[in-house]
Amino acid sequence: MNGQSSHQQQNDGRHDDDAALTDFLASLMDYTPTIPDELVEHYLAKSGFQCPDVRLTRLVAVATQKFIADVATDALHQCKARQSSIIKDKRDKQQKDKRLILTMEDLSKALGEYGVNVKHQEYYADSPSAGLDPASRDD
Amino acid sequence: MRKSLRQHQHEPPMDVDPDPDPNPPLSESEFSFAVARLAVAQICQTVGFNGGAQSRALEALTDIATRYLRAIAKLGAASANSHGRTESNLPDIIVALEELASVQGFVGSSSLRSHSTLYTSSALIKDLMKFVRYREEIPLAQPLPTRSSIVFGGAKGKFWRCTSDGDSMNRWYNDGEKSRRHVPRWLPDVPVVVVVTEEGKEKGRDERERIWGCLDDREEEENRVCCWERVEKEEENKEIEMLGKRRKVRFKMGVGVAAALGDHNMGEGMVRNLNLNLRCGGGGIGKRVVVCNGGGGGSGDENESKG
Repeated sequence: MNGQSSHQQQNDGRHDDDAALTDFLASLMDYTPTIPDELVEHYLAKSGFQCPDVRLTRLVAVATQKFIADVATDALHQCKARQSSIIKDKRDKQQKDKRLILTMEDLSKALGEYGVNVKHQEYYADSPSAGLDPASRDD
Repeated sequence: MRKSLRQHQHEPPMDVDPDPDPNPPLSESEFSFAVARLAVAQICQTVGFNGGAQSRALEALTDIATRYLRAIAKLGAASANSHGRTESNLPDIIVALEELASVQGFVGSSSLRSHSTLYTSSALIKDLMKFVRYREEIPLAQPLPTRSSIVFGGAKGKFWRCTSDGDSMNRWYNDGEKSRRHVPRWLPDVPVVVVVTEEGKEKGRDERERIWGCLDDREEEENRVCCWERVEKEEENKEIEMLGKRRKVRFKMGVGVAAALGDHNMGEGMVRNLNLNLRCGGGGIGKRVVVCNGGGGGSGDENESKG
């Protein structure tokens, strides 16, 4: 009896999920992601992905947009934290440094949490191998 | 990923200009990257970066965005292919997204659920639903140019090839004739079959149009006969040439002969001799055979000249 009711509950939950997913896909027809459909389709087609349904293309676009937005939000937090630590020392500059700029430093920290290792360059060099240490130059 | 990012970093510093310069014709990949960069810049702006972005940081993030897209596509296509399909569907995409998602914990991860409901109750999809519901919708700031107005430098542009301005459900397939509706757009066009009428026959022959299936039987027969004659003539010519060039080669039948000569170069001849022996059932031992420029005579010839 108990098992049956829990099974029933699970089934209901599953139906709810299905309905929610269907509604979600239907709502994507009216939603315009920031990444345009054509761009997504271009990259999808380039990798051999074939799907005539525009809702699924938008789903991919939304997923990518969310990923980028998450990374950017993390970078923003890094940026704010860094600024607030600096500003504590120099109160007078607080008004000037209100602008938030996406920098390589914040981005690499944010991406590190997503498993992407980015190392930003300290300076620019003329030749591609000039700034590398000998170990990484070999590979 | 790291390597290519490094390559990006080595590029000389660029001006911070989110809009690509429209004057020089961009290549296809440059164009798509520029559009992606615009979209990424806009996402960053909506997140709260009000002061712009370093050009390098923006490029790195765009690079990651395009890689993310391609990774989804690759995993989704692989999932579809492993199920014997060419078109991907919703579970394929969810599988791909789940695979790419970094494990940071999610709502409901502690509650046990059976695997059959994995797709529909995926925490990732729920996050996406929330994202769509609560995040305001920001379309791309710049309208994309239409397919006809793009001129790419370098290779032929196929950027807009699989997209069309019209029916959204029909982006992937050819529209028009009913017989070609199932053919994806990226495939090359089927050769046009021209129906040759009685009046148009002469014209068609003059222009030497060789289109599949439009030659009638007689014409095809003529063609074939012509071809055969030509081939035969060529073969005759070749034979005459060969007769002129090559000389006769003598072989001795028998097992021990070549070995007795002690010439290793005659090895091939010996093999042939053995074969002949087998065919004759051993009856022809010691019989002399003259082989004149047969198919394999050339190798014997060479052998002899070497030795």
